[in-house]
Amino acid sequence: MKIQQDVYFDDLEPGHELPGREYGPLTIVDTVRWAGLQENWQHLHYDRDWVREHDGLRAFIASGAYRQALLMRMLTDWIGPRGWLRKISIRHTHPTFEGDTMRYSAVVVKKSPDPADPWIECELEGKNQDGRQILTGRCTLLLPPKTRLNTGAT
Amino acid sequence: MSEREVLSEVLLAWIGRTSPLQPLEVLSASDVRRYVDATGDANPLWLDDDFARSLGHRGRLLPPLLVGWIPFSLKEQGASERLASFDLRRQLPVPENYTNVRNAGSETEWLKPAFLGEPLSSQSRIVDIVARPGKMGMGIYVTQEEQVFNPKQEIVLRRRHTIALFPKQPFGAKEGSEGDR
Repeated sequence: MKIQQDVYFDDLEPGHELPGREYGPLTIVDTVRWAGLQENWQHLHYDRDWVREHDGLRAFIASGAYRQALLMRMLTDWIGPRGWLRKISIRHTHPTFEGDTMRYSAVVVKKSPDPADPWIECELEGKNQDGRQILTGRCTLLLPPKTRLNTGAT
Repeated sequence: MSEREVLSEVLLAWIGRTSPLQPLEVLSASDVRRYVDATGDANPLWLDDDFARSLGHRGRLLPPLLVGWIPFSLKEQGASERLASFDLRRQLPVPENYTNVRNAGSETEWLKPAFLGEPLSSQSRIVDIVARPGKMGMGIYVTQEEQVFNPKQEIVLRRRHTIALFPKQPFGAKEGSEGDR
């Protein structure tokens, strides 16, 4: 398979917006498939009657780990095979209910002054189909400079 | 309930408690396949050994989210004592009606690649327990730090994760804006 690296440290500056992603609408198939992977049988993620009775919610909600996985997929796709997701912090601010979408965005806010230590920091945000924020976060990404490739390989 | 009522001395005594170093289940190619099916994250770095080797890795990597992955069922109370000790938070003496658990947030750092089939081990420590009032009542916020080690005892992952526990909610009470599980 051909190695395609589209993003380089040298080309980025604070203010650069990463390509956003939209996932969903969330279905019971999505949440059950995730529950199976995680072996997480909490009714919160698939049982409409139970969440109304027990949690006072109008519908089941996506697992936080599932939402994080989709956000991380957006980042690891963008940094390419020679990039490295070094750090991510996430704060969940509103649930994703059945039928909701997850729209993720990221913007570069900081860049290493040292090309020998090529990292950038991004602010992350997730919103639902109504524009309501569902999560915020921050990440540190290592990117290859054009002159010296950084694979993170061991 | 007030802050004093939910934060008993017995509960607060758990701050600083550390789990033993536990070997994690070795993740298989089918675990990764099910992760890819669930997320659509078909990155060749976790699916194609040759591709990963062409980048200097010794084989395909685990997707970052699966590093230190512990199936939820192993963390549940009711499992054996050894398995339950994977997640100290499952053993906390919180009030009985605090059954509504939400994921309040996390910070995760990947220090080295972890590879498919690599035996990893994990250790965790309760670092903070606080109470805060919110839309869903008085919440108990528990923060745990976890480290995941490779066979060379190098740290491949560090995570600081906070869960929020709330009392059982009546229908239509709130929509859980404090976060989700």
